[in-house]
Amino acid sequence: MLRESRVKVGIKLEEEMTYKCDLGKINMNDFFIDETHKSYSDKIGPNPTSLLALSVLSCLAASFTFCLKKRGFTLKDLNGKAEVVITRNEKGFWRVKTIYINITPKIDDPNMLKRADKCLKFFEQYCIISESLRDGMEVDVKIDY
Amino acid sequence: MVIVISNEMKTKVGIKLDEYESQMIFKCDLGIMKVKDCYIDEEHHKEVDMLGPNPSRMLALGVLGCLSASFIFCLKKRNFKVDDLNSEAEVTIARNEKGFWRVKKIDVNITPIIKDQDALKRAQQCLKQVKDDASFFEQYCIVTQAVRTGIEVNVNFDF
Repeated sequence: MLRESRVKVGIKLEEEMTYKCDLGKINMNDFFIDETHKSYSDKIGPNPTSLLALSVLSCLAASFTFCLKKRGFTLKDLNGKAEVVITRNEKGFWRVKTIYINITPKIDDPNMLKRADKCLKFFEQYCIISESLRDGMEVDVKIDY
Repeated sequence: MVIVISNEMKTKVGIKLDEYESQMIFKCDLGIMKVKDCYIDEEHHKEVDMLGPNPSRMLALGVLGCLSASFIFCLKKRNFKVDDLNSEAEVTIARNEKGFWRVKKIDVNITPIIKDQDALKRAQQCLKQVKDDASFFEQYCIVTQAVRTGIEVNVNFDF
């Protein structure tokens, strides 16, 4: 059984505190991390906090989908939202305190609903990211269907 | 969207299942940002087939972007700039005792180019250890210091 895997990413300074991502051979347009602009309408890419939230959110959504797929069920649709709460620690530095996750899958089939109920009990164990982060921050997960 | 309430900030993002048969590809919702299509691809394993980063790569980009911006912020506080900067992150994922995959560590390598001698002196101050596991500049990083309790993050500088 494979015990370890590794992935690599890179960034290069674009301007001030904006970086161009190096994602190897992945098929995507230019992707930037923008910590320069404060206003969202000026940003040309997510900031690191948004990337963390997208990572946790997509990992949990994929883990829930994976749990359904293991019994041959297919979702009609799925939406997910994440809200990151950042507070100052005792020394005054900003820290990620909580990530609130809300996943809304569209499930009509009663058999699939039964499987979804079972998945709610254990699907988070499949998520590489949230379960690794939980020692450092609260990850609050809610599934609405 | 960011909402700041005195000692608290909130950031919101979303995803939506893409019309892809595999059901493991999501389109990012980044509000009104000027971002072209952003996909998170947990379906394909080969980079040449992937439409976007997977969650592990997203996490690595978050840590990498945060540490790089924190270092530059530390220089900027004394009005210094880097001439250039490149950074790399390697994420090691290993099975835990129950057999589930977990992020074990993230190795970060930051390579700034700094020609000005006074900026170099400031850079050395920014790198000064203030705690067992963190340099002065790392304290500015919102993401890494929160991630670190759960995941080992090693930071190396070449300049």
